[in-house]
Amino acid sequence: MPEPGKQASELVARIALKDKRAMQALYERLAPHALALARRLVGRLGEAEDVVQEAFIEVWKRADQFDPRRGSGEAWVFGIVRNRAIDRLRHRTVVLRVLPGVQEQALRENATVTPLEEASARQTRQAVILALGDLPQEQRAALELAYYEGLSHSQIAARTGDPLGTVKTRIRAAMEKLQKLLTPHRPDPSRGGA
Amino acid sequence: MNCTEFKAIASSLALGACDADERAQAEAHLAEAAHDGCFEALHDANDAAALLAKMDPPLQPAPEIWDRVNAGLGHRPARRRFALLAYGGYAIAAGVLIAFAFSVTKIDDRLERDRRTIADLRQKLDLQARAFAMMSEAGAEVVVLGAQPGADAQSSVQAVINKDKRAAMIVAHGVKARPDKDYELWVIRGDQKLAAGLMKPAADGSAMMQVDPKLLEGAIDAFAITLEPPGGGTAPQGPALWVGAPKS
Repeated sequence: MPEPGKQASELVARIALKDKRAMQALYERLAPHALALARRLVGRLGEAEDVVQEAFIEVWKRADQFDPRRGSGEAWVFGIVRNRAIDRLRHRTVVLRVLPGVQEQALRENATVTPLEEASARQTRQAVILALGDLPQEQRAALELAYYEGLSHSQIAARTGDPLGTVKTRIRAAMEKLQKLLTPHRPDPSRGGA
Repeated sequence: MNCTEFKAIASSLALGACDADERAQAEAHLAEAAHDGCFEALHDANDAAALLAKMDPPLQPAPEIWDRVNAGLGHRPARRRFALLAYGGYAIAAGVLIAFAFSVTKIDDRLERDRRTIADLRQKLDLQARAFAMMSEAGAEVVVLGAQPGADAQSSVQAVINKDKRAAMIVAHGVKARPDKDYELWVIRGDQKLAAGLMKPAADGSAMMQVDPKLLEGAIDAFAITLEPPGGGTAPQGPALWVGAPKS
């Protein structure tokens, strides 16, 4: 049975040794998902492509810092992509606040791109959508504010008006449910808690 | 922080939701020798977070994205941007040669004008050479200033920046001069909009300018170029036509 997450971890380990073929293999494997994630976060396709470019160069430079005890290689790469995209969003927030004449619409283009999706990827995506849909609304909102908007506990509490402790509890509960629901789809299902 | 406390926030750590002090405590805990399921909890949380990255159908990146990544692996500037600057460099160099040949064959009443032209071109060439040099340095970053409504359709504006050396240059192509208006560059830092000088496009639509190093001290949120009354001002009044944010 293929273990895509584990393979990504092995590729990252080879990239740490400056193996460019491993780098290309990792890019071919994860860049389509990375681009979709970046586009969800920043909106503009061109900016999302810049995020992907920056993120993979960062993967190349920081591969020796990858710690497989903390998560799969796939999770590590997506974490870098997300952080890069969130940085862009923060800069954009400043620009929109300081230069009110700049139109956010112009920063969020509507380019047409062709989705590339294999059956297994589609199943995973549908499982994630279903799992998120199963969460209580307030848990899902807290989770999405954290992951897709890059807000911290205290920022989420300020945004929603909920106590800080409540926010932490909701996020933890949401993630525990997601982990149970999505176990078969995890990047590295073979870990088995070892 | 003990293991129980760490496991309680492992999910938030994976989502990037911890505040800075909490994150620092968590990292300090992970650096300790003995653990009771901390790494396992973090591993599971990170893998669950990775699935959130798959909410949307994957998109095939354009082939040049890999070219740009591949170029970055050797710590060279991205090919597309390098090619753009290289083209400009060759064009300017050719312009200098043509201008030089032209000037020596003309009579004295054109000599002064040719000298001024050559001086301008030399200045541009010098700026271009500095931009080249900057792009080859470690820590250099190219920031694309995205066109806003009202910008020239074929325009391309980029900032080459090296924060470590507090140096930045603006390189523009396809920008038309506007009658009775000036383009003004702004450095955006938090709520501050710092006037960084006027950008004067040449007849061919190209423009280059250096940014005052004093304006590069501290974090930079964005560069913006607005259209202002002649001579510019100390606060932007006109529309922002190009805006771009450094990566970090």
